[in-house]
Order: sequence, then C-alpha cells, then structure tokens
Amino acid sequence: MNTIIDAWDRFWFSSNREDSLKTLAAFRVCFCFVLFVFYVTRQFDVSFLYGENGIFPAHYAASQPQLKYHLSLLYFVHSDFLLNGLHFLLLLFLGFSVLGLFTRFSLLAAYILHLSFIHRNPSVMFGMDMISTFFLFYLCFARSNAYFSLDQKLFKNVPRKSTTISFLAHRLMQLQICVIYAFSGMEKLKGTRWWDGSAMWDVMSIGTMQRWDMSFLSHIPFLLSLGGYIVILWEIYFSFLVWQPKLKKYVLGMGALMHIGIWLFMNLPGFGFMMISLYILFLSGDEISKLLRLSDS
Amino acid sequence: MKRRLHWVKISFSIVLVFHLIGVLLTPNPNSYAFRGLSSVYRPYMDFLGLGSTWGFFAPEPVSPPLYIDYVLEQKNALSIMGRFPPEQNPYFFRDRYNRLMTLSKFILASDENIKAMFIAHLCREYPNTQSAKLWRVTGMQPSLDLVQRGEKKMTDAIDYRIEVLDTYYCPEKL
Repeated sequence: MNTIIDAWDRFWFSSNREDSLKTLAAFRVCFCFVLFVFYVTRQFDVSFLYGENGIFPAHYAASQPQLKYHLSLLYFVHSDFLLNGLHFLLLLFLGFSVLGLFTRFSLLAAYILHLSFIHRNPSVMFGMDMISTFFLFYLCFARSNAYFSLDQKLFKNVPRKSTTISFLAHRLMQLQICVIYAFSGMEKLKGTRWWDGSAMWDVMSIGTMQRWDMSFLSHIPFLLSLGGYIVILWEIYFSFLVWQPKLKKYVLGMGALMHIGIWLFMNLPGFGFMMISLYILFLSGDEISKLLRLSDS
Repeated sequence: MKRRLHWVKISFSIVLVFHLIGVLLTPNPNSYAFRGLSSVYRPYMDFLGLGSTWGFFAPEPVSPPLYIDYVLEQKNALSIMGRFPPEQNPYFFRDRYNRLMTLSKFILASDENIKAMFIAHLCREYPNTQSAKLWRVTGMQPSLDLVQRGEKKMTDAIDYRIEVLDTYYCPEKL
C-alpha cells in the first residue's frame, strides 16, 4: 500500500515542477495557435450553424434531452450580429492566449466561449472540438505564461515558480492524451475492418477525403494490413511506452508521422497539427530549449 | 507546515480521484460502471464539456459519406433541385466542408431531425416552397477487391445508393 501511495505522491506532487513551466508555455503557444487558425474557418458559417434560426434552431436544441447539461451562452443571443461578435471574441481570446496576453483570463474566456459554441450545436462537432475542450479547460488551471508571453514582458512580475494546481493540470493533460489513444485503440479492436486488415484502404479511399490515386496499394495488401495493426498496437501501448525516457522520442515520433500521414492522405490538417501540439506536454523544459536552439540554428 | 501540506495533498487527491473516475468511465457510457455512476458523472462531465467518447476511425474506420438530395415544389409550380452538402468541397478550407458532412449524418439520423432542422431550413431559405421530396444518398467507395482486380481505380467516381425518404410539407409558421 505504501508503494502505491509513494508512487501517487511522486507522480502528482513531488516531480520537478519548475521544469513544467516552459513545457506548459510552449504548449499554450502551439495549441492555441492551431485552434485559432482552425476556428477562423468557422467564422464564415457561424449564423448558419449556431444562429437562433440556423440549421439547429435554438428551440429544437433546447428540447433535446441529451443536451440537458449542455449550457451555452448562445441561448441568450438573439441576433446574428451579436453571435458573430461572440465568435470573433473567441478568436480574439485565442489570439491573446497565443501571445500570452492576460493569459489566465484569456484562456478562461476562450474556454467558456468555446464551450458555448460546441454545446449549442453538437451536430457539427468533431474530434478536434472535443479534444480542444479538454485542453483549454486544463490550461485554465496551468501557469502557462511564465515563458514566451507578453505578460512576462509587459508586467515582469509573472513568477517562474510552479504551483501544485498548475502541475496537476499538466499531469492531467498528459493522462488525457493517454486516455484518448487507449480508448481509440481498444475501440478499433471491435471493428471487423481493422481485424481483416482493410481498414487503412478504407481510410485512404474515402471519396470525399482522398487526395491522390493510391490504387497501387491494392496490390500490396500486406503493407496495408501491417500499417493498420501497427496503428492499433501503437495507440493501445502509447500510455505505457511514452513514460519510458528511452522510448519516448520514438513513440512521439511515430505519432507525429501518423498524424502527418492523416493530414497528407485525408486532408485533415487541423486535427493532425493539434494532436502533434499535444506531444509538447511530454517534453521537458530542457528538451524544448534544445528544440528552440535547433530551430534557431 | 508539514501537517498542512499533508492535508493539502489529501484534499487534492480526493478531487483528482473523483475527476479521474469521470475521465476513465465517460468514454465508455454503456458500461455498467458508468451507468451506475451516471447520475453524478453525466451532469459533471457534460457541464464542463468533458463528456466525450474516444473512437477515432473506430470501431470501423470510416462511415460512407451521406448526402441529402431534394426537390422543392414551389408555389409558382417551379421546382428547385439540390444536394446537401455539395459533392465537391466548395471551400478553400477543408474543415468547413467536413462540418457539413458531419451535419448531414446527424440530420439523417432521425425523421425528427429532418423535419425540425433540414425542412425548416429549406423552407426559410426558399420562402415559396410548399413541399420537399428528399432522398438519402450514400456514397460507395471502390472496394479493395474491385481495385485489385483492375475493375476500378481508387479515384473513380463514387457509386451512390439512393433511397427515397419522404415528402415533407413546409410548416405554416416558421
């Protein structure tokens, strides 16, 4: 029992917390930047998707029993002008979060606005919206403005000292990534197409997403099957392997390749870049400094 | 001081355990464990926006694209035909189109959605509409076997399975 309590204490409370500050700051910049770009594309469709008389009318959304606990500020907004203004505010706060300006407040405001939009119309929600909710929520608790922020430059009093809550938020974000991959991997085990090895073909040949003619792959089905099995194994074991210092860079490297592949073959850049930005949470402050020096040189 | 720190850790740990149970159970809402605790965790996780399930490209890797074909009968005896969403991505940003593809699946999930969402939208967009006839169109992708035998290429035009849905009338008051 003592061993478990010690391990719990080490994992959540006694690790090198100060090292977490640079990681959280780098993550904030990259993650919020990807979200900012992604949600700029939604600005064009705000009235249609979220308007009181849009495709999911407010009275109909409010009558859905599964949306009972999905509170949203948008139910109080009755004009399209105001609705567009709120979305613009969301973008503004995401922009501020990238720059690290009034960081805590900007992140909290971005989270509340983001939640209001996805709660108002879950029929147009996909993976990126769901994942971003979790990480925006946790970022609200993290001290992510100690580095790479205008707060640091302008106000000069942002302490470079972590807090218990900030470190817990960092750990929860790391665990969340593991949960996402583990469940995705285990869900795939239920699919017949993943078992018979044709899943990768299905993914690449989906008409609305294919970019190139990859017909030649049908003659090397072994490669397709192998790719599918590797994805399942990698997703399920990610949660165990990413904590091993010697294996970490290979596990994250493979994940980055997989998401770049999804971007290239399925034309889903937002999702791919967001998932890669989450990997920053597994890098130490030193590793981030090294990466920055590398990109400088 | 040490004693205070001890209690701080215990307090945080209790909150953490409560939250972690939600994070681990919510992605599997059909489990007995989640159903037993759903009266506590459903409101908590949904309120914070954390009530998601995780199954990217799973259990089956893709579900075929769904479109809605429509013919609108106008008061002036003219007809308007269309497909939602359009077959080709009309936008520079791909993500805009993906949202419409997700939306069409949601609309087609129930007759209630069709009436309250799609028909109401069409009747508002085209105020002269009296009725709308709808079809569910499923895009069929070329199978691995067909391409292997050389009968099709991956990029060949999609085959469609078309099913008649119903004729819907515009509500009097929108």
